[in-house]
Amino acid sequence: MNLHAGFPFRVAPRFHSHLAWTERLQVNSGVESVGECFYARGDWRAPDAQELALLLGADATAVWDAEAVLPSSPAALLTLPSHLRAAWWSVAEGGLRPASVRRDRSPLGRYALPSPAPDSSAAGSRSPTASDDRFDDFVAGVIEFLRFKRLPLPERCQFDVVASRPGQRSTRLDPTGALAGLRVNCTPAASAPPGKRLVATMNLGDEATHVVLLNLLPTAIAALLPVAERLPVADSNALALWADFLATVSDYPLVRVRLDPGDGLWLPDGPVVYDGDTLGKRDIDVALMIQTAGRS
Amino acid sequence: MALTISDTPSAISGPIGPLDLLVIQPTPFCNLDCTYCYLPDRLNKKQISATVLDALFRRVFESDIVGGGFTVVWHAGEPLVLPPQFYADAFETITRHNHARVPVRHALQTNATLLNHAWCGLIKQHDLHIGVSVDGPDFLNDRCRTTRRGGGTHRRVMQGIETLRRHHVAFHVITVLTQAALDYPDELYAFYVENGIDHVGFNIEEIEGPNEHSSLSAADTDQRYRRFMSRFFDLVAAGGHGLRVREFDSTASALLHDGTTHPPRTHETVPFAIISVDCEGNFSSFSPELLGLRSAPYGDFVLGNVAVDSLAAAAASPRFAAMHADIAAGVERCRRQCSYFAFCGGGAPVNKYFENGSFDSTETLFCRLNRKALVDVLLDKLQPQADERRREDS
Repeated sequence: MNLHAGFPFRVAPRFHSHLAWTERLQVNSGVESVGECFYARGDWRAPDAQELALLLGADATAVWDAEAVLPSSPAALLTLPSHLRAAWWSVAEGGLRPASVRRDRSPLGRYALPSPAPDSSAAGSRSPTASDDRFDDFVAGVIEFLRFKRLPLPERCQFDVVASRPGQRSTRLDPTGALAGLRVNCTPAASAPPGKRLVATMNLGDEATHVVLLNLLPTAIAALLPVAERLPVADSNALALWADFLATVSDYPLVRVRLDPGDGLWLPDGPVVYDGDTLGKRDIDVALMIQTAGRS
Repeated sequence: MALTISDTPSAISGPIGPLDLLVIQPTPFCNLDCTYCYLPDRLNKKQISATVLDALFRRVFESDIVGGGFTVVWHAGEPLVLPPQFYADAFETITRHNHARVPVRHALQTNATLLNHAWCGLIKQHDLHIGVSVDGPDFLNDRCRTTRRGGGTHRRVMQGIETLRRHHVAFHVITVLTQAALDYPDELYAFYVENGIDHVGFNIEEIEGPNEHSSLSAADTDQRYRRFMSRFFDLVAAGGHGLRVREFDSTASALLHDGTTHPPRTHETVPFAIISVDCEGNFSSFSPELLGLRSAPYGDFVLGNVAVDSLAAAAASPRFAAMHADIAAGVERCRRQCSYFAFCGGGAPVNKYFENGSFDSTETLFCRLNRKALVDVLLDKLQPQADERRREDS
């Protein structure tokens, strides 16, 4: 199947991309499934002109005006300034000790640093240890930066730093710690904790990394499914829809976004299918993940 | 030491000088073509002659406005398009006339694109103060700081900065804030820190001469400028990199003098505190940017030529009297009308004239941003600290 127009890619208002989209975006020939998991195929290539136009949308060259706020529809590129990234590494050098690292059971060794609070407010509120204090300061700095840029931070959000080994074709884990492949970026509203959604991911590492996306939101996904496969496009079904789609239309091109050190991607509102990709990397992949913090 | 004008109208009687800043245009030519530049004659490759320089320094040192020393700024064109030897010769001329051995500091404001080993040698030999004009990272700098073909200049500027660093030459940076730059305080801060820049001054894009419009004239600029300065202040305060910001230093200084009795003198309103000299020996005073621009009431703002006019004769001229009277009236108007006068002293004449059409006027874009907004921002930042200290002391 050919690429279809989905959510567009943009540079967020009041940000700048040092790379052209042609250097940043790649497409492939879809997914391969292993059991119930879907992994992006590795045949990444530059999009042709038609595909690039579909990815960037009609207003690709439009310039945000001074007061523009980020619309809900695009996937928007942003860049964390170097002093904030350095602040993270200062935290990491002081606090990335075995005692503070939760190692997953995954033999692949992915591990995640604990966030300052499992359900912290945007202002940061809990500082039980010196390590957490430094992390809170770092998060507070990021929040102040994003607020200055007028990005639509949720009222309550959670910041996690996730480290992944280089050379992995996925960075997402299932509950057993195995590489999970493509997954939607939010949990169902009825789950516990309820309604978490990944808002943005940022590359804190020193080497480029990639985010892999299905460029379609649920309505568009449903429209491309054979009639017999379609579920009503409702929130409750959105999380199941993507799996049906990838199983049915496995050759639909995925999009891979290159994120250089400091670069980040603000995801569109709504369920978005994404994964990471550390293939070709030499260094550990370190990502700052911002999620809405659901109320429990 | 100051010269008193006794033969001019009483409205403008009072001291002139002492000389603080002597701005010399070695050439009007600039190898760049920045979109916001106020210099009207940037393609003119004429250069100041040894004869003009000799006459200039004879005039300066024979006058009685030279006090405890002054700074010569080589500017109003790209000074480095002339060879280093030009400056070596010029410094000898100054020494020859400076019988009293008054301290004379030299400063070059440059776009840095022509810096090389030879320049660094001269800079170090004569302890020149170097200011580099760069508007931050490439995507900001190259919006306005362009070549005549419209190309970016950032790469060459950064090569120049690297040359200075390699030769251990200290320098400060001047960044012009345009409307676009106000969205990027973090990116500017990161740029300075990454490049080892520890002293920066923010100029605002001003309405002067050929630059008849400023991107900062937009209605929402005041709010955005305040947000920018507030954010930048927080970054500097939290950063621990020792970055000095001229605007914060000067505003804090004005605030700490509490402003009730001795408003800071703005040198631009004090006659002959600043003298600007073009490459043909024409000179003016007050705002350096005036020289080379034109107006109906004051012509080209030129008060004399060093070949034929002494500074005292210029100070007795009708044109000087008219300019001085109108500037003084404008300062007085500020004193009466503006609650920020105590922290400012009366503003910049060039902005008043080219924004309001008269020296005898008050508020300008420059003072709304560079005075009022900065005072407000720094008060917001410093007042809680002062209150905290007061509580601790008591």
